Amino acid sequence: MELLCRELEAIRRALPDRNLLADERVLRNLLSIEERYQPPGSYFKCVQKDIQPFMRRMVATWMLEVCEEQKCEEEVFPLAVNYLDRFLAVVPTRKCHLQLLGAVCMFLASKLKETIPLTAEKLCIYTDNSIKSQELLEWELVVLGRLKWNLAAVTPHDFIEHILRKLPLPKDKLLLVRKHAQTFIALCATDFNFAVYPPSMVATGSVGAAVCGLQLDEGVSALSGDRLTQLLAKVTNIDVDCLKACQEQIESVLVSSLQQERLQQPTDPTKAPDDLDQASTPTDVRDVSL
Amino acid sequence: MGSSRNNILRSTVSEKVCRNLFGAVDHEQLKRDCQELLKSFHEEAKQKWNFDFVNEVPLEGTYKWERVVAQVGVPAACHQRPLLRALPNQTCPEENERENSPSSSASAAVEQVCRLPLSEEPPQGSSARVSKSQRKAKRKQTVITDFYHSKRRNIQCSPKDRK
Repeated sequence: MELLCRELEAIRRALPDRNLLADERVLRNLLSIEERYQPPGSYFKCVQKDIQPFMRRMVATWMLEVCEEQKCEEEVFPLAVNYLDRFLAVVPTRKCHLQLLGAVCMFLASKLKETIPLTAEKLCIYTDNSIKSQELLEWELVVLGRLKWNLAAVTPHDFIEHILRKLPLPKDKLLLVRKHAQTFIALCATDFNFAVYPPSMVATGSVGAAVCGLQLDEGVSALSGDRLTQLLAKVTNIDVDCLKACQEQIESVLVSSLQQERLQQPTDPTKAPDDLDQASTPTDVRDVSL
Repeated sequence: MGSSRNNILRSTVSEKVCRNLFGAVDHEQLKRDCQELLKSFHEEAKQKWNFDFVNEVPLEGTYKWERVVAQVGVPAACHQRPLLRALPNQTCPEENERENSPSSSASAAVEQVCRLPLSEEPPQGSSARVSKSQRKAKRKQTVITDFYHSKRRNIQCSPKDRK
């Protein structure tokens, strides 16, 4: 009989490095290099023949569910989607290989970011065993080659701490704002429209949406509507109107995602409350009131 | 045994997330696509560096490949500056650009590459070849063209190239 130990050691994380977070040069460098890691534009028209926007959403949603269930670090999912988009922007891919590609991207992102990465075996099970571990490993090399082994991409997560520390947030709300912002970022990664925005804009818009959603402006006037947008725009050096538009788009993605979920619910009345937590919309966002 | 492990693993994941999104996977096709893509990487690298990474042979082209004998067990060889004597004015953007060669498995003698004016190009004879006995040490490329610019260009061009 084979035994499998499911006991996991507690993940050890480094403490936030104040030298990195307080130094303006770090933020400046992030802003100057972020565009290197963006897909050059929509690949549905010119590169892909078989793959359509809704399929990208399907695979991204599945990837988010896997990452959530496996309790991956927050950066893993957006990073994996970044790999997926950059690969699809240059390699025409068959529809039936798209899920394998999504699994490979999670495999790579998880290895880069996590202490205990996802295993190939587990990822194959998540595809309902439609792919083999060996194929995953072979395609890992293909994806790496196409990304030129350039995996340390800038994601919206890299900006969160830099933005948060510039806002006059009440200390007791900081955790909540961060969590909501991270969830908005995950939501954005499921939607291709945000893939062509700079990560700093997605991050800034997500923090804006999180602060607005929590209605923190009641206590602090600097956090109200336009003043917040202006403050945020200054931090990451974004045009105020662009930022406003981006934040509105983020909020509307949340609304449509919630509507979709409501539509899906009645079709499956047997769903246990437990299952709901693994639905395509991250749980936390549902607490946000707009 | 393998399947029992699979069963145990399977019990740790929820059925709802385990799903096949786009129908049956053509495993043969997958293998062919994989090999085709890997082959195209080798071909691209071969063109870019005028070096046959599969057979470890330098080819005619912009770069002149020169064998540098590695000092055994001295990793400092990896930090050696590129040979600059043939091109005093040429900058070698080594620090900010690292690109893995497609033949990552190769462990050949440390080779350093430098761009020479075409007129001065000496014959690429036997001296440039790497003998099998000398393949113990690590190989490193020290001069490449502006990586990010070329990367952007690749991304913009390749969709059309592939059609």
